[in-house]
Amino acid sequence: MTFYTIMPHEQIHPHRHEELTNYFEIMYNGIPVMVEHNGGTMLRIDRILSTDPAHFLQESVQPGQSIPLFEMLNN
Amino acid sequence: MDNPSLPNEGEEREEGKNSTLMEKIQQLGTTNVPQMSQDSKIHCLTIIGQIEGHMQLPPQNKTTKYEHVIPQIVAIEQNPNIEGLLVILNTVGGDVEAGLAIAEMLASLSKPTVSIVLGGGHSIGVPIAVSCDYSYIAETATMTIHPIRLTGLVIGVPQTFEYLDKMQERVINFVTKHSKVTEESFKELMFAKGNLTRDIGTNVVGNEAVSIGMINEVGGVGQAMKKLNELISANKHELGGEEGLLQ
Repeated sequence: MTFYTIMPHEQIHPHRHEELTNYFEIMYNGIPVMVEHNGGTMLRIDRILSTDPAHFLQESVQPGQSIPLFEMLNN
Repeated sequence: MDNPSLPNEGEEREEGKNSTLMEKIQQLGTTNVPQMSQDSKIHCLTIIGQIEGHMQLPPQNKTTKYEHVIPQIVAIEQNPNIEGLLVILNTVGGDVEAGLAIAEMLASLSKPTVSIVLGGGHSIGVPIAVSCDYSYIAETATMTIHPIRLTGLVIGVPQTFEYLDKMQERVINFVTKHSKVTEESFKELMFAKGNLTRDIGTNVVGNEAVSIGMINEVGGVGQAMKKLNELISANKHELGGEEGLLQ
């Protein structure tokens, strides 16, 4: 594991307790997105993982949008 | 949605999704393919933050993940509707193995590729920037070239030094092979003193990256798209020529 980066090592790996985060990759409307789950029944879109520029213009997957968790059960 | 022309949008979408999914499984043996709409012949790959490889980085790091990027490049190579790829870099570097893997994948892609360095394309971002057929750098963008180190501490053990030297050679070889910069001048930048506070190395900005031969041209998204379209039509012409010969 060798890093070649301008970021100082201590900034990449800080000495603090890691926060619990729940990020998942899912397909939503045929678009691969990363979502965050903070408990509850909604998922929040964090980022779009597609290379198709058209996907970034779709309102339904704009980062920050919430999508109901139950919709995922049908996929 | 109150668009009268799309009364059954949800249903249509559902149907469309299933049929394209089946098609993909049949054609490509995979479901995770960049989706196509009619008008995007050019796909865009963004390399941002840390390039993440063998180790998952703590969540406060913005990362470009190996397992996302590599399958996307494979899908772009396989999808006949995609004609070219624009790579946008704004990265601080990251894992050597993952960075070189992405660079090699881009270099061996049969479709035209153009890269733009915006903001920064540092460290392992350098080989990725030069891996494309043609590269641009924004006038204000910078690229930091510095030696590979473990933690920023002084390297004390000869074996460690040799190992890092070997890793460094891989980067140097790739960059000199895929751009016009010579090994001599690249190493000179890498080991220059008095340029960076924490380390030895050089920070090259826009024009400088072009004048040393590392990047092809200074420019932004407009120039890059124009170039990519040129490369695509040249590529089509070439392919057409080959088919003509076969017949």
